[in-house]
Amino acid sequence: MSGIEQAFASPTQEWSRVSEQLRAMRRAITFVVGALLLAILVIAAAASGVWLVLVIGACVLAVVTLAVLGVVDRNYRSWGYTERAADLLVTRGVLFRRLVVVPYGRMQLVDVTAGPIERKFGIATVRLHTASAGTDARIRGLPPDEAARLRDRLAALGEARSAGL
Amino acid sequence: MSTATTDLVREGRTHPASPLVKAGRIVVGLVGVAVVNVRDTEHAGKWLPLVGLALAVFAAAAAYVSWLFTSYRIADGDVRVNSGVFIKRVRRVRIDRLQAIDVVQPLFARMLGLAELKLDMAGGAEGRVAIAYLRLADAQALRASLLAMAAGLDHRTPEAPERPLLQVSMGAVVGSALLSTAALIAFCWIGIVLVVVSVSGSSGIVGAALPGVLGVVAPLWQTIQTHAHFTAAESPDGLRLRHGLLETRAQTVPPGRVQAVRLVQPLLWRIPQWVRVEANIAGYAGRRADEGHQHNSTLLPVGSRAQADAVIARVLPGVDIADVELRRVPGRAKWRSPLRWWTFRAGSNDQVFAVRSGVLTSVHAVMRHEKIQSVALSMGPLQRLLRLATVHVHSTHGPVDVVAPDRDFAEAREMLDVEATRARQGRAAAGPERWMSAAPPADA
Repeated sequence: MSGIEQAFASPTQEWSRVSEQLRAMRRAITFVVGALLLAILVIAAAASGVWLVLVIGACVLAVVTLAVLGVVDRNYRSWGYTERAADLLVTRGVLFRRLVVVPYGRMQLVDVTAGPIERKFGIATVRLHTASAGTDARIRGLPPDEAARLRDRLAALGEARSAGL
Repeated sequence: MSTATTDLVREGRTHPASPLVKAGRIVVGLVGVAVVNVRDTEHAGKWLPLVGLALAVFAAAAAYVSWLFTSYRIADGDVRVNSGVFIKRVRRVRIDRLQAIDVVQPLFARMLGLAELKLDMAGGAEGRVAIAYLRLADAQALRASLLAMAAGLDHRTPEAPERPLLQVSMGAVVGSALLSTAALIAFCWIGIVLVVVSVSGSSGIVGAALPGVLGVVAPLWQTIQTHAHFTAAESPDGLRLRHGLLETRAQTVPPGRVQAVRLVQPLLWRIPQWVRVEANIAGYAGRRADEGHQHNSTLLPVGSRAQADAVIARVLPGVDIADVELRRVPGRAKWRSPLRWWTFRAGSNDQVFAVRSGVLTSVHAVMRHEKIQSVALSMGPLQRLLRLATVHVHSTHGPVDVVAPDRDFAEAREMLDVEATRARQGRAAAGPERWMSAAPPADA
C-alpha cells in the first residue's frame, strides 16, 4: 500500500464496502444525461445544418463520458466503513478524501434515507448525527437490509454508551 | 438521593406587566424604522405621532391577549411553556438536560423590575425556551431552583454563594473595541469620507455615506453595549457572568458544559497585552440569527493573560493549557498556505488537544478529549501532492474550531487514532450528568 493510502487505511484488515448498485446507479445517470446531451446536439446540428458540430460534439461527449465513468468507478471504490468496539469509521472521496471517526456514545440520531432513484436500484444512505454540525458521517449505497442492520445496531450502541454533553 | 420527592412543582402565568415590555420593544423597533426612513418630515410631523399611537395600542392589545394564553408549568422533571392563542404550542425542557439558564433584562424590563429566563437544553435544535417576564427576584430564585435540580440537589437548596473573580473595566471594554479590526475598518471608512468631503468641497457625500458608516459603527456599539460592566464570579454551580449596558444578562456556566475554549488576540491587542476568551458551550446550539456569538460564548471579552488563565482554570479545572507540546507543520505546507503556514501548531497531552494559528489575530484553541463529538481527517488534491492532511476535531456549535491544517499525512493519521483512543478513555472516566450528585471534586 502506498504511503498516502496508509493514512486512509482501515484499522482492521479491510473496509466494509458498499453495494455495487451505487456504481450501477451512477453509471445509469451518466448515460441518461449523456444521451440527453447527444439528443440536443443532434437537434442543434439538424437545425443549423452544420453536421460538423455533431461530429465534434459527439467526440467531446464521448471523452467526457468516459472520464465521468472513471470517476464514478473510483468514487464507488473509495466508500468504506468499519465498525469498531467503541466507534464507527467512515471514509469516502477520490479528489477530496475524508475519514471520520464517530464514537457510538456521541451518536444522537441515525437516519436511513433513499431517494426515488436510489430505491429503484435498491440502495440507501445512512447518516449519523452528533451534536456537532461538522461530523457529516454518511454511507451511501448500502443495501436496505445492511442499512437497517447498521441503523439498529448504532442506535442500540448509542443508547448503551451514551455520554452526556 | 432520590430527586423525585424533592423536585419543585409550580404552575402559573408570567407577570401581568409582561405584555407592556413586549409591546414596548415592538413600538421602539417600529419607531426606529420610521425615523430612519422618513424623508418628508413636513407631512410626517402630522400623522406620524397618531400612527405611532395606534400601533402602540394595537401592539399592547395583541401582547395582552397573547399573555392571557401563556403559562408555564414545572413538574415531573421538566419545564413546559404553553403559549399560543389559536395554534397551541408547548415548549418543553427536561430539567436534567438543562445546560444553562440566563437571566436577561432588556431595557424596558429593567425599568419595570422584570426579567426573562432563557433555558438552554442539551442538543436543543429548536432554540431556547423562554419564560418572559417574571419579577427579578422570582426569576433569580427560579433559576437557582432549576439549576439545583439539574445538578441533582434539592430544589430548596439556597443559591450558592459566589466569590467575585474579576471585573472588566469600562475603559478596557471601550479601548478593546477601538483596537479591534472592526474599529479599524470604521476609522478607514470615516477617514475616506472626510477626505472626499474636504477634497470635493460638497457635503452631500456625507448623507450618502452615513448609512455605510452607521453600518460599520453599529456592531462596535453593540459590542461595547454587550460587554459593558462584565463581571465574573465563581460559585459551586459554575462560573457566573454578568454583563450588559442597556440590556443586562446573567449567565451561569457550569464547568461540565464547556466543550472547547479559545484565546483570541487581535493584532493591536498585543500592545496592551489583552486577550479574549471564548467557548463553545453546549446548549447554545440552535440559536437564532438575532442572538450573536458574543452574548453566549464569551467567557471574557477582554482581559490580561492572568485574568484569562483564571477564567480558563474555572471551566477547564485541572488543565494547564501551556503544558501541551505544540508541533509545527512541515515546510512543504508553504505551497498550500503561504501566508499562514508557519503559525500552524497542534499537539495533545493526556487531557486536551490544542491548536494555534494566526498571523494578525492569534488564536489558541483547546478541547478536552472526552468532549469531542467526532474527529476527521481530510486531504484535498493539493494536499495529496504535498503529502499533507488536515485533522478536524468536532465540537458543538460555537466560535471555537479545533482544526490542525496541513500536517504531515502520517502524523495526521496518528493524531486521529490517538485522539479517538484518548476520547474513548476520557468518556469512560467522565462523571455523570447531574454532576453535583457525584462525589464532590477534590479541589473545592
